[in-house]
Amino acid sequence: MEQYISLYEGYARLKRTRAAFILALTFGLVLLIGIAVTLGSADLGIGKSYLAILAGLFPGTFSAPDLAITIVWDYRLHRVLFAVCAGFGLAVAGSVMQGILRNPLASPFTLGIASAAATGASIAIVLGAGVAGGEYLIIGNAFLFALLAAFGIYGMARYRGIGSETMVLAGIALMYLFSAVTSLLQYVGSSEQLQAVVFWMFGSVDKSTWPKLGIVALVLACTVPYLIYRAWDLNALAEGDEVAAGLGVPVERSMTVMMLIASLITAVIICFTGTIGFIGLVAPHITRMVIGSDFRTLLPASGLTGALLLLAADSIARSILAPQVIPVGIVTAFLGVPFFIYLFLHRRDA
Amino acid sequence: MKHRIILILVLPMLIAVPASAVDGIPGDANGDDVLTFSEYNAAVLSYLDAVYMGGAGNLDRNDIQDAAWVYIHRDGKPLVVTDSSGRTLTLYRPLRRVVTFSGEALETLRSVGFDMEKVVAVDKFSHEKTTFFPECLDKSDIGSIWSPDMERVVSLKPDAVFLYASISTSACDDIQRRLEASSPGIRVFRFDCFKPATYPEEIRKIAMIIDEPRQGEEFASFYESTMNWIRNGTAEIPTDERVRVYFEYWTAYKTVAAGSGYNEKIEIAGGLNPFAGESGEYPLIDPEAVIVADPQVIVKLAGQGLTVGGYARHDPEALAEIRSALLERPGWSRISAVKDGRVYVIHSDILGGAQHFIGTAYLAKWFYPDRFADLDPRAIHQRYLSEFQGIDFDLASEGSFVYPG
Repeated sequence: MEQYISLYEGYARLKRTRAAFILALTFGLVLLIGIAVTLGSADLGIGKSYLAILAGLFPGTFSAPDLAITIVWDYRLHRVLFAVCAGFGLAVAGSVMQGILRNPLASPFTLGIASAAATGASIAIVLGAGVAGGEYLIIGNAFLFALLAAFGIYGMARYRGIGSETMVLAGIALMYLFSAVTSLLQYVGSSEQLQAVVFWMFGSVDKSTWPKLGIVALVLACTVPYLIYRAWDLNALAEGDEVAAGLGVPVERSMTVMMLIASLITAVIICFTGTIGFIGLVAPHITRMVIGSDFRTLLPASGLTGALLLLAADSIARSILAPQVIPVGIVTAFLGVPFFIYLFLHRRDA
Repeated sequence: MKHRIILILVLPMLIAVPASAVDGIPGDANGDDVLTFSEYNAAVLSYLDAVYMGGAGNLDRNDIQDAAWVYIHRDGKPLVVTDSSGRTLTLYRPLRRVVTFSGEALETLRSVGFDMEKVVAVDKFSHEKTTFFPECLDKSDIGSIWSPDMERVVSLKPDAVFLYASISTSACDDIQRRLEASSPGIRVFRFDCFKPATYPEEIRKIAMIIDEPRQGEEFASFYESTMNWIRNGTAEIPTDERVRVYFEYWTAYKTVAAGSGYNEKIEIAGGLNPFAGESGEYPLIDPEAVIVADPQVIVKLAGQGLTVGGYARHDPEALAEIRSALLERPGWSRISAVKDGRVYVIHSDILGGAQHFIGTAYLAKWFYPDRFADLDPRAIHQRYLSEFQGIDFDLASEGSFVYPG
């Protein structure tokens, strides 16, 4: 009886921790969004920035200088929200992959999906058509190759009998293959093309626009609720294929569907941003260290962590050397790694 | 059998020591580095004796031709040249087999009247420029300075190789080291041929190396007259009256800062780059900052790879498309340059490299149309192509370099 009470209390405490963590993340994210929209080279200040937001929302009621409205609505808002969505999506995709494959190293990057996207983009840059329409060619190619890699991994794993180790191994093999293709393209490309490829691979949210934000948000809105709805399957799969099968989870089908969804999310995001490394790997780990690995809360919480991390990185990237912008991928690593190591050293038990 | 053994023993020595390895003017009997009239005469006679009378002269036909060249063009003395890396090289013979790792040096060689037959191999980028360097199509391709095909270079037995002086120095140094180790006697020249500050001097030096001082002087004066026209026309404009220019690189919102070649050309043309003080040569800029800077002129660089315009294609529509994409950027309608219709697209073919004076002339004209009313960049460009490059290229119907043009 006593044991039951302590278990109950423990669970209640865990629930409280989770609620507090998610609440804190949400609050932090909202606060950061509030700050991020006021940051930029055009020295608008807090007042003007918010006035411009309100003026855009309620054109009749509020008014702000045209310049402020243009800058906030055409350049800042969608970029900030895009960073939030991209960080959220990459982190969710990373947690799903780590969960299904029961491998802490699984992420869109270690599975070759990101290198495939980079290869697709390089093909468009080096062998593709010109600048006009070039952007869509690059996006399309990156997306296509990312999905191709996902299907490739799945196909290989399926051929050998699906298993988490097989998938990780297949992913790593693919990553090397795609990296080699990209290197080859860089080798034959002209110096300008080389620069474009390298730049793409740095990753950034510079190219965000409202339509792109719309696409990413739509994909997230369609997929994330489903993933959270199937969180119990993920919990079961995390205990091992046999356990999951014993609990009535259709192991193979669940793995396939979830992997493809995670790949789709990744592909949609990185085709617009280039390879923003690390978020997909580190955000789930950070979250798991704090609130444990129950996917019902892990998925939304690591999404929020990812969003917070990427938005913070992007805000720093565009304000630290303003008006210069540093590629966000670089800042993400500088920001994420120390934090990750700190948590790792202090919460070894988690 | 015995002969064969001797042949096997001697052959490697012949390969290891090419003719040019023996420094000194051919026919300079007393070795004092001056080929006098009598030494030259004696050499010619000895050669004729060897060829027609079975004499024991050791000069071959190339030697005699080289001796004649040195006697006629260089007063029988060796030519001493200091290249842009500061190294002094002594030439005892004219150049017969030249390899260029730099398209700019190749272009300059052609500008000063070098016989392009004597260029035996070129870098891969020049090799690909079939419209601009049609004669290079059947020459050897020796890769780039980052991945040189050293075996091919050495097997072509060049007597001179041209490399860059101040960019990619470690790659060029490495190539130079390897060449000098494997081919004694080889002359490695280091010239940039794209910097306004050093180009006129480099033109004259390269002309001297190939014994075309008159042609070199003519081309250098043509180059200097254009550049001085621009410099003099903008020199006295005070800083606060200079035109604010936003220059955009191939990538969106990537601009240029102090230290980059493009910024130097903007400054020569009298432009004021609001982002000149940023760190790095090609900083990426927050889009907001461009609107805030409110440039009076916007110049966009075209020519990603070889896919748009330049010498390779006549497609003004593609350049026009790049321009209209700029105009459609959110908020740009409020920028002065856009309001006044002063947004231009320029191809890197005429702004980087040896042809930067043509692009700089366009910049000057765009920045100060009144001051440079008489400056005709297109005419300068056409004259450069027809007179100095000697290629049959009509700007009216071929290539696309600027828009609106």
